[in-house]
Amino acid sequence: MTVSSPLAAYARWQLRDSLPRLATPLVIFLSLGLLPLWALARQSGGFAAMRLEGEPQAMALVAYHSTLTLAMTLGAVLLASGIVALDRERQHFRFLFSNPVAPWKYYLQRFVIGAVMFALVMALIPLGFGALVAGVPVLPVITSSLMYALLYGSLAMLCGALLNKDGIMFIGIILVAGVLQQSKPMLPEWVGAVANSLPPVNVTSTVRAAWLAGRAADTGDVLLVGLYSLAMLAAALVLIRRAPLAR
Amino acid sequence: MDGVSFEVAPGEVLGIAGPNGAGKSTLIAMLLGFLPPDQGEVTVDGSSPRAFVEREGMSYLPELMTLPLNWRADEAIDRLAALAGIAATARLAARERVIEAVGIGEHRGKRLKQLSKGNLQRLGLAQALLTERRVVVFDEPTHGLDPVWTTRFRDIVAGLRRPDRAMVIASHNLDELERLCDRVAIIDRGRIQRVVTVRDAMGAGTPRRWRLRVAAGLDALAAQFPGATIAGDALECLADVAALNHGISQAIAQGALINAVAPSESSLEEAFRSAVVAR
Repeated sequence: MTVSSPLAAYARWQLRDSLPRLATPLVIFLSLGLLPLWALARQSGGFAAMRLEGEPQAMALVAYHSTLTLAMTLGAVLLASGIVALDRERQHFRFLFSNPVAPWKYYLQRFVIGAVMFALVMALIPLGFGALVAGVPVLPVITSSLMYALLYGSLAMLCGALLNKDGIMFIGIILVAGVLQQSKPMLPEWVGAVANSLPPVNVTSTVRAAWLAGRAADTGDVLLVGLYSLAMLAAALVLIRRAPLAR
Repeated sequence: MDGVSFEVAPGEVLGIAGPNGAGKSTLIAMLLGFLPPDQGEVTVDGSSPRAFVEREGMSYLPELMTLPLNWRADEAIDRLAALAGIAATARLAARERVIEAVGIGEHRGKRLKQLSKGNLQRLGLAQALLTERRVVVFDEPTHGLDPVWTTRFRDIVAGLRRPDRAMVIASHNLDELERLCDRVAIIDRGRIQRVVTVRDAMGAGTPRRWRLRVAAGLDALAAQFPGATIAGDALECLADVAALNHGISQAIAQGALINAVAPSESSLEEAFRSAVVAR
């Protein structure tokens, strides 16, 4: 019997497993963004009128950006959360990893597939908006989505590698980091130090805002987000490799 | 687990017996590298279990089917065939072969949540048969199977014997272990209490307990087996095969009529009783 690379062969199934989660940002955008756009279009004489520069188009762009940000954030949060812990908790690992497959490579592949597909799905939003209302850049949406998928995905994987009930820890860290980092100037120095040690949620928003506005983001900020995410991802993969699968 | 030490040689089938909570599943998790020992070492062909599994894989049937219930039966086989490293061109044939082997063809398109416990277990067996691994580990393999499929399963497992293959079967079912295994390790409270070499234990020279039913001449028969117990028309005695035959022929010569002769319990049952129940 000829043998193929098990992980490469399994990639299409991992892609299929990602699809329900990938639909989330589209559903969010369609449900929250399309209604205001439709209402604006009705007020301003249809989508054709909104294609002309003016107040309706400016309002549509505001709705687009706010809904896009929400879809990107929630989509990235839902993309990777629970995957590792769920396989462990529901004992799926017994079937998956009695095969000649390294668990850390399996989850890395799933992470990469999910992140790339997330960025491509997110690209549908500016493409759709461009077709209906006004042309908006697609590349910044793709790079921002990849950045969000990397940060939140690696945090989710780290939480999943540590705990079975990882969701509360994952969401808790994001919320605490976001709140503390946003209000850092008003907080005591030691709390600021704690905020700095948490995943750079606020800096990620700053980078995303710059990219979506067509500006260059601060290189230090981009490096911080990238290196922090990669460090979390590496820690998660080491944990997956070393910690017992059966717990 | 505490102080557990054993080896399984290529070509051998080792059974693991023990009461609930004895540590059978923990032992199997260690064999597959899902759980490392706190102390000591587990090696498979000289490697750590995890390294061995990641290099070659093991044919493994867990006690419970824990695959996602929204998968279809044929999809589950396809996915696990891909993970097993079966080339795309051979996957379809492999899937059909194992589906036919365990007789779940009519259920192939069903979601796992629609399958009965027995059919789920057969699906689990199907995925374990996808590849020709050097190590086979079955945990309570006939759990949930009906009597027909329990028998068929035994035939399938008997057919898996190969000189270069080591097999480990954990089961509550002592009769099953006695039929399939060369040796059976009896574990309780995390320790191996005894390892029974089934073939030797079933050998003619080993005394065992027999139950004989007679139509006539019970006294003549009892005279041949001092210490035997009598209940109604049945006599229970301890003897090896030669002594049993001698005693029976003497009793028949004295007019006894014997209806039935059978072991009153298997040698493994006896060993299990003395190792576990009496504790």
